Amino acid sequence: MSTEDGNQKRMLAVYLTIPFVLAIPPVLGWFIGDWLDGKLNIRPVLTYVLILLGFIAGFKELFRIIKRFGNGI
Amino acid sequence: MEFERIKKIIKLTFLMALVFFGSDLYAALATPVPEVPNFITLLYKKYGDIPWISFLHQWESLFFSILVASLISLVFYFGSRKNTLVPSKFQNFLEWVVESLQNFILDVLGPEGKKFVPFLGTLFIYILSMNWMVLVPFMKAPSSSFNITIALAICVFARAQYLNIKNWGFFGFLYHMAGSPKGAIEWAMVPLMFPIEVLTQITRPFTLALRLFGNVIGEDILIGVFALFGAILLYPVLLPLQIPFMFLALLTSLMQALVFTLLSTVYILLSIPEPESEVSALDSK
Repeated sequence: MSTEDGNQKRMLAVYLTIPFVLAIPPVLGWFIGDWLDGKLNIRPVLTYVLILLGFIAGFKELFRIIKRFGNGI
Repeated sequence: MEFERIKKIIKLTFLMALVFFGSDLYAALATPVPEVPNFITLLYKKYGDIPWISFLHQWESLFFSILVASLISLVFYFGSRKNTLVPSKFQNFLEWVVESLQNFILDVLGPEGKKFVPFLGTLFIYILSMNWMVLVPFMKAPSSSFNITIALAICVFARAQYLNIKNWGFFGFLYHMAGSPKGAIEWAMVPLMFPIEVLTQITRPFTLALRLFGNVIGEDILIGVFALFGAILLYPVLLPLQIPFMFLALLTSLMQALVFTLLSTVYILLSIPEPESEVSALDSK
């Protein structure tokens, strides 16, 4: 399979993406929630729910990244 | 004799550098926007009422991205036209580029990644060339427009989702997205897990696009601000203050192109079902 060098490159790439993985899902959740709220006329509900889900998604992805690529250091 | 030649080379280099810096400084002086203007912006400022120029101005990112794509196509077409066993210098260089990219991607993906080399290699070369366009006087880096970067990211997203559906099947993929539930409790968690997983998937192209866009526009503005600063500091004398940042831009552009390609490779890797041996090797560490 892939080499040790390839493993390090993979780690470099996925670690560089961690700040975005944590920051973007809640913001995206906020936008999608706001749009859905406007459609369904239930203004703050889905916004908050999706922001929360965004936070969970970010941390879940972080956990997955560390679990899968966190070996070798 | 040798000394004469060196003197000539130094003279020529100096002359070229002067032309290069001078054109950039002129460009910086011609506009108050803290971004080095390209030739379309300058044309628009002068002949804004001509329809085709305002059309070009409106679509300038697209124009420059098509220009970069055509340039790359031409370079590779002429490089590989006369395929010889003992390559010429140009062909040799192109072969070196392609081979190093292939080794790089195969390092990460393993031997079955060979079929993704054309896609990912093209991404790398295209993004790198687009980022480096900011260093060419009167040109613009098309990747400083979010539309261009999100389009590239959507290509990667579509490829990864296609692979997901191909490898797991449509319902298998949905099952996977729901967190592969088995017991009653896990099935009860599906309404929570599914939106989270969908959000994670949608986030990926956004992170790719935003990082590239943010970095490239940041470095464009940095170069623009310092070019302007150098131009107004001692007004009749023009100082090329942006030069150190251009070297920095060389480096960060390469880095961003590399990171974009690497992350696309990782997203594709996540869409390929892994052999059991590697999963267990990763888990055991």
